[in-house]
Amino acid sequence: MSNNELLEIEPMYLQFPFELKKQMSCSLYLTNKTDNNVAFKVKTTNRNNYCVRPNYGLILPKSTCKVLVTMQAQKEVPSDMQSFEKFMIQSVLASPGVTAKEVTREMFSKESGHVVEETKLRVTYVCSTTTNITSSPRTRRGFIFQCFC
Amino acid sequence: MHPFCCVTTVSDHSPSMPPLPEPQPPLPNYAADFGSARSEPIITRSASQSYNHSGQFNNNLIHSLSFNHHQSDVTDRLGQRVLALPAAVREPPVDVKINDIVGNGIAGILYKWVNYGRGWRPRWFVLQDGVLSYYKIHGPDKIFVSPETEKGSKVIGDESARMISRHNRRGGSSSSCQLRRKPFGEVHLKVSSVRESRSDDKRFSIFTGTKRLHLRAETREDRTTWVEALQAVKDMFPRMSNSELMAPTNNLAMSTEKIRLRLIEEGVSELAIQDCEQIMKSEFSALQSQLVLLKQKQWLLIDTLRQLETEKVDLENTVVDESQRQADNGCSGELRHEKFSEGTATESDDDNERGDAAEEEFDEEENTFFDTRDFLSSSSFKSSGSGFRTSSFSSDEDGFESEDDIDPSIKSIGCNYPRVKRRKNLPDPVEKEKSVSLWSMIKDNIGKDLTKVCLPVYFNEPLSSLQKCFEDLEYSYLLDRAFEYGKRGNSLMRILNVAAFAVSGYASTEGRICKPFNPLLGETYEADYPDKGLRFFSEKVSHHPMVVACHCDGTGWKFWGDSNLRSKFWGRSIQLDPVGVLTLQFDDGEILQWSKVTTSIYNLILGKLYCDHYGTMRIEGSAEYSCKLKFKEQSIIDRNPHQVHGIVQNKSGKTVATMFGKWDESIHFVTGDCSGKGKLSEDMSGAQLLWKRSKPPGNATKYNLTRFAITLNELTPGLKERLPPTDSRLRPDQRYLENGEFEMANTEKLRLEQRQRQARKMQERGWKPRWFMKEKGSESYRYKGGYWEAREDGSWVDCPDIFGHIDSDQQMIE
Repeated sequence: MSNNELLEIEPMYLQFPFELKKQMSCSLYLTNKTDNNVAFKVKTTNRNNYCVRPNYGLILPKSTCKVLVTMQAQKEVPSDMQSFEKFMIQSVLASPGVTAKEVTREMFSKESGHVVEETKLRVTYVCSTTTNITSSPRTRRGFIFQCFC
Repeated sequence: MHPFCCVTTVSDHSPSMPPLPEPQPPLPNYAADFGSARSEPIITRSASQSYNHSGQFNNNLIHSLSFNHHQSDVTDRLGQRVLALPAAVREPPVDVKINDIVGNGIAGILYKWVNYGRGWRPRWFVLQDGVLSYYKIHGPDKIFVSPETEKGSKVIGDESARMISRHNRRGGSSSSCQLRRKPFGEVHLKVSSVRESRSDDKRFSIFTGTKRLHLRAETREDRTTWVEALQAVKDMFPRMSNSELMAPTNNLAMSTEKIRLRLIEEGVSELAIQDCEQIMKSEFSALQSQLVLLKQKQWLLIDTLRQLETEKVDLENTVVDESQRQADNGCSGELRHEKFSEGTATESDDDNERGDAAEEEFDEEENTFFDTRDFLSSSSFKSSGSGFRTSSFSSDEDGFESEDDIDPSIKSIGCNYPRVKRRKNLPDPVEKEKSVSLWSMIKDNIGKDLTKVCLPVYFNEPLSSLQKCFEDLEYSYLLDRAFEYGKRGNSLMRILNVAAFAVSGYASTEGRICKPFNPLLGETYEADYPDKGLRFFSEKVSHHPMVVACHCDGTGWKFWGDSNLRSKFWGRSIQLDPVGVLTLQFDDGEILQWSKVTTSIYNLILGKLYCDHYGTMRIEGSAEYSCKLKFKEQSIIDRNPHQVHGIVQNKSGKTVATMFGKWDESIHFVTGDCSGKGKLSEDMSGAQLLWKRSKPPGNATKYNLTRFAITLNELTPGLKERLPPTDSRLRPDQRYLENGEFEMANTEKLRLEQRQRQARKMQERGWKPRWFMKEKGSESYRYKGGYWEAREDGSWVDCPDIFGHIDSDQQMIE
């Protein structure tokens, strides 16, 4: 991934404990390494599958913001327990005096001349301890695949 | 020693000069030169004349002139001898070594690579005085080699020796050509480097700063001899630093003692001897000045050669790289290698570009990111037909879900209503319908009001105009949302949603090519839709002119209006001009009003029938903002039909928001004024979605009804018993058409329209609508109330059986 100058993102991927027919959550920690306010925004390739709170906001200097990403309950185990969906964190320096409520999409518009940093994050799954691996043949195959990786 | 050698090199750079005689012992050589025929008369004449006429000034002057006449010759000879003398005397061992190796030069035949066309060509090479020259031995520029011309030179190679022997027989005839030979090319070994080829035992190369010679000897031994000689010559001229070159010239101490003694022996007078000494000193002084100038020239020339050598080294590196590539590719030719190299580079460039393009495509495909939301959308999880509101009328991919950045509490408005199961299809037709010629019908009715013409049921869709009014409320959730926004004090979002609602009423007209049924006088239509949180009621309140009034109670709002369409038949199209005002009132008292825009129906006779809406719609009222929507008229040139543009203005007329979209697709808005057309594409990225049309049903009907329209004429279980006898659902011809019983539909339509002829009489006799009445001082009809209460009681005492047969009607009249 790119080396961010504004935000430090931990971890560099989203790992969901997979469980059938239940929502799954994981957390991202965005740390502002600069001495100015940094506005951020979260994007994804599949918006209907995720709930991001907060999906945009303002981080004070040297502060950390926790972003909770919740995944929609799934009816089937994904093929090979893999996800092809991605997330993107956009960050931009906020002008002094801007409050969290005033963060707008215009700030992340590159056409307006803003320097927007982008970091892409992958989505991975891990087997939850309560996963019923015998619910379908694909689950079994995925489990074996997971063990041998 | 070195400066003198360099001077010699510079002065003898012209190879056309004949080779010098072999060196002799120093002293005898000197005496011999002065004893030559040319020099001797000068000295003799001078001595004898001086002796005979001693003391006479005139004779002395003549002698001086005679001596000066031969000054240049003497100077040349003296200079050469003087230069040779100190070298021979000072360093005899070096002299011996040089003579052994180089002598008067090395000559022989070598093959020179010319080009691909000619290949290796023989040339006569001569190595002499640090310069390697070569001559042609064939063709018009050829030279002749013979023992005389190569006297004193060391000949390398048997072929060379045979050539000399062959020319020996013709020595006399070629004597005129032997005097001067112009070299075809020459190389200064001081700035050159010699390399032996590793792949070929006979080949070697000489590199200079400006060119390169590929040479091939006859045998390996010959190559070794040549390379050794070339290297030896190079070593004779080591590179000198600038300090050495710029060192001050030491004055040469010359003694005239010997010549004085010699002249005394000859008996020359003391005065004459002093004159001779003075003359020699002045001549040598002039010679020394010339030597200083020559030294400066030589320094400049060597400096130039050093620069050339630097360039040669750079080119040499390039050549080495090419040589390595040659070896790798197994190509012996320079040009061929270059062409191949160019091809390789071009191909690799293409590969790189293709790879980059593929990677870019992959990245683009991968990086389609959307804004995230801070809530979960439940449509993807819940099955179709669940409690989700829009699932009843739209597919799961409804545009409702794609709206972004909407407050979740606002978004949930319109989603909390209970679900009601409704039909998703029309009944299958019972009969097969036969087509009717429209042309024969139209030509008899040009200019007439189409509402008076009794057309066959073929041109109708199984809905009445009363139900069409309710179809405008398909997207009533926009009004629910507008009410919620206003409750929160967001007046801008309120009017934006109302405007989107006003536009959405036209979405269902796309593709609808059939005419709705004209309702009978007194016909009504109710729509109790708890799944939309509203109750709708409409009635035909006037037959001539035809007026339909409607009223709708929503959740937090009321909507009412009377619609009248003034139609004109232009032969090519039908134009429907709207009459009447639509009013929306929120529970907080805010009122907004607007009117419909003009509708035209085209291609009645030929082509596919379609309709277009155009004109300006103004939404105004007691609210803080007003809105102006412009429906663009479709033209032949315009390839982007159905466009709508709008602005929202505040009380002072300032534009605070801009709307754009299509009335059959969606509506977006951006805050601020971006009236410039060029900005649209730019602002489009920041636009927010207000409304998006529902997707059509999976199994399309022949009437192109929407999912919502399919449910309008449905008799849900238990509904028929509660309906008044005047409801459109109970109209027989409409029901027959929906069921596909076209013969019965036509029969009933004719009967009902004939019965409708009496409508004018009824109206003249003081007939009044059952549920609506005109407002005082206004032509608008308002709902009186009482319908839903009567429905609850089931008492339809004052509702006549308008669809029944004439007998019941007569009984009613009686």
